[in-house]
Amino acid sequence: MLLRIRDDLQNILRILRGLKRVSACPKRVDIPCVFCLECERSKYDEIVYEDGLLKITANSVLLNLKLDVGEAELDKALLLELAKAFSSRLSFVMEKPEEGYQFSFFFFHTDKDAIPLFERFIDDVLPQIGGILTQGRINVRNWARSVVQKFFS
Amino acid sequence: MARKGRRRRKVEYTKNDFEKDLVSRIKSDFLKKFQVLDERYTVDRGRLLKAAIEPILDTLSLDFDRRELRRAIAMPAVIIYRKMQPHPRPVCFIFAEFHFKKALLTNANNASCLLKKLFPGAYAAYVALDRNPEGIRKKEFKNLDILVCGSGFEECWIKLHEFLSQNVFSSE
Repeated sequence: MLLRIRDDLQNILRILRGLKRVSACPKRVDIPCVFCLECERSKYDEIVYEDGLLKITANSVLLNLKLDVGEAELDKALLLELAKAFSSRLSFVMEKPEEGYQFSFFFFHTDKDAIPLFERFIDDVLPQIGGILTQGRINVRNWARSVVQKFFS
Repeated sequence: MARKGRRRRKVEYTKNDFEKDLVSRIKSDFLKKFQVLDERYTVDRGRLLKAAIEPILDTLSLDFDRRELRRAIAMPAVIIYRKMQPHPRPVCFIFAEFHFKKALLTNANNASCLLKKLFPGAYAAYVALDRNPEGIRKKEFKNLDILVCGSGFEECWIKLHEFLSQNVFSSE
């Protein structure tokens, strides 16, 4: 039985707090191992969740979140816009999530300040995502109706 | 006389070295050993594949997602081709990684699914140099013909050598 990301949040936060700079990188630059994986120093590991995937390396982490939104194209588009909007304010939210996921969170060892914001996102936004999407759908429907109303007025 | 004040940096074995080792062993154990194989096959790290696919990208059916295809082309570490005109035809895609983990295997499986659609009959092999591999079942990855995992290069090479000699180069 797989855990959900929210249920394992404390473990994820512990991993994020434990990220460290990789010394003696063969490329001799401080780049995120999670995108490189060129050597064994990356210490790559994964945790599969019911609603996502956590990719762990020594200096960086990538958390992919899968939301159950069904097959509606509008919901998918709304989620994409939501991810874009969050990424403009939160540096750890990736503008384009990894394929098959709705949100991708990237943490480098220098991003320790972002951990409380991430915790807030998981605690506050995630449980309300259904309501947020409904609000978005209502707004789009109202916009469409207003266009039609303007046409007939 | 030994030079003072000069420390020798420990050379790290990277994925790049792993890929180069695979190419050189395929050349030395197959292509250079048997002339008939050398005449019919060639091996590289993906340069010829890009050259072969780029011109046909615009003529492919719309079933192929161009973005996914570009990503898939970049994934195999080593490719064995059958020499043909005007372009060589890939016969085996080898994915080389340092980790034997589910997400990486899934990516390789998806890439080989696309590549096998483009080149039917081609084989796909996943080779990992991992000391602590994850317990993964082969049947989850139907597009990968063999999953090889070992703690050292030689251990991986023995298994891959057997696969290549029994499948890819068996007809010669």
